[in-house]
Amino acid sequence: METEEIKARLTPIFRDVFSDAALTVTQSMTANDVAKWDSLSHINMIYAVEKAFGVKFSIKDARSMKDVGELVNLIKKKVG
Amino acid sequence: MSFTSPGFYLLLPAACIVFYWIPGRLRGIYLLVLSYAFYAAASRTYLVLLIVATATSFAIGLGIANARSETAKSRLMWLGVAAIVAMIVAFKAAGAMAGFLLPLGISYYSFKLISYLIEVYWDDEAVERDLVVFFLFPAFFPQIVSGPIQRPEAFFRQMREIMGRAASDAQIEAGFRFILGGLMLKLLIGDRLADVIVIIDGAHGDFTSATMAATVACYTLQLYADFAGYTNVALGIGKLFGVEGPPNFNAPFAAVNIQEMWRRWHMSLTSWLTDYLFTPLSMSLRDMRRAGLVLAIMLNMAIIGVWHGFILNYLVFGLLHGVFLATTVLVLAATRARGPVVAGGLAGAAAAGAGRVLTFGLMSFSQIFFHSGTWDQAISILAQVAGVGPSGSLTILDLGPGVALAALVCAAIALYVGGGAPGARWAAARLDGLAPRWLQYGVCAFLLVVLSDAGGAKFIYGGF
Repeated sequence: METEEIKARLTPIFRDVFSDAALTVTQSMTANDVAKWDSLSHINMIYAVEKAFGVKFSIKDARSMKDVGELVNLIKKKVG
Repeated sequence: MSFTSPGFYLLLPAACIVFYWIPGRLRGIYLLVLSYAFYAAASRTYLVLLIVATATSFAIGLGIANARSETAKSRLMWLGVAAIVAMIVAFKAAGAMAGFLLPLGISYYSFKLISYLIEVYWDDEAVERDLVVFFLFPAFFPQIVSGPIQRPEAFFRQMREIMGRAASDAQIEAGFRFILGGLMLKLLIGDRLADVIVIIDGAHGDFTSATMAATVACYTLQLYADFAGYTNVALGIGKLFGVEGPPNFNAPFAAVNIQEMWRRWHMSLTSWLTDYLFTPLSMSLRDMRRAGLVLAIMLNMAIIGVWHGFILNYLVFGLLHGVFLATTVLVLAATRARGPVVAGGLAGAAAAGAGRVLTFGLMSFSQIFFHSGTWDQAISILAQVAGVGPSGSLTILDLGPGVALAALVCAAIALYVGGGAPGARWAAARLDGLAPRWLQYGVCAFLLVVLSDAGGAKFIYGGF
């Protein structure tokens, strides 16, 4: 799966989880850039992404993601 | 030696001057010797425990970083974490049963060491190979008594920097300001409130139900003044030695709900638990959706409770906050699901105000359990405040007009400072134009010496 395709699929998930209809996912986006991205919504986001892409993240994965770019790479690796 | 004893402040400037006078590479060793001397003044036996716990964590950290397989890394991490947790549990349990004093700072330095092991497990590069810098991390004397619980990376980086740079005037002045402000909050506000609380607690059945309710609100204000005061002193001393510690309080009384309050209260502990307990736990329980979230919140808050000590009152304090927090999170999620909440103007301000009052009320309600020494005392105060227990006819005015006025002024100041001190920055900027800084500090120091009774001052969080 290509980076752009993953990002395009992530945007509606992020809009829903972080209740922000204007949000567009970028590679360098972090929790600091999104008002409602906190420890609680982070887990919701992980869960939603897992369901949408049919992947499973470990605790270590969820913790070590520093920005959306790393999430995209992780999805790429897991989807194959 | 206490952060409130005058003797400490005679030694501190000398210790600080020597620190910047000696060659940079010796500063780490010097600070380690100072920190161990500070610890040994409280207990030499427990200093051995601190050194053993540090050495063990150092070795296990290297082991995790050098291990080839993921299984080996995971086993080593769990071995280290389990050993440290067993140490805290053993001392807290023995403390609760036999009533003996806990080793100084054990609740704080053990959490620092646990975070280090988990960080190295998550990322090999977090490993620290410099023996002096590592041994300083749990022992660093400004943070040993009651935190704040600093994260390893931030501490290691700053220690390396201070060994290669000159003293920063701005940082030293800020350190001095933090110490002065912290001591004023603790000694002039917290301790004055404590004096009144002790009198009323001692004969609470003689006071009216309303007086008792006001006293319970003062439990929260006193705890804030005591612990935020301590934290500012600890942060200030850290700054004198080039280390910026993490904050513990960010205007907690400005929080409009309990979830926000926990992001502003004892932040170094709550953010620690969020990273190392709540997030992993809620990740593991994520398939259970809401039930998993509630379970993770309840467990997290129960641990916050018993972290203070293994007694029923602390557990109830934690569980109460678990219920408050889980309810808040679910209600907020349901409200957001119904659409964006837009409340501006008067309605918005009224809602925020009501939220603040409710949040403060819930915190104070839980403080009945946190503050009371025994279960029976907590229940009898609770019944009295609710109007169903025995009450007397005394009010705070019966303690004398001076006492009542002092308590009111101290409570108002604690509420103002804990509410974020609106307007204080503006006033400080105006004051700078009127009087030089040294004069302002001098007046504060004078007030501190004249008005405080530092003889027996103890910090509440020094007991955990």
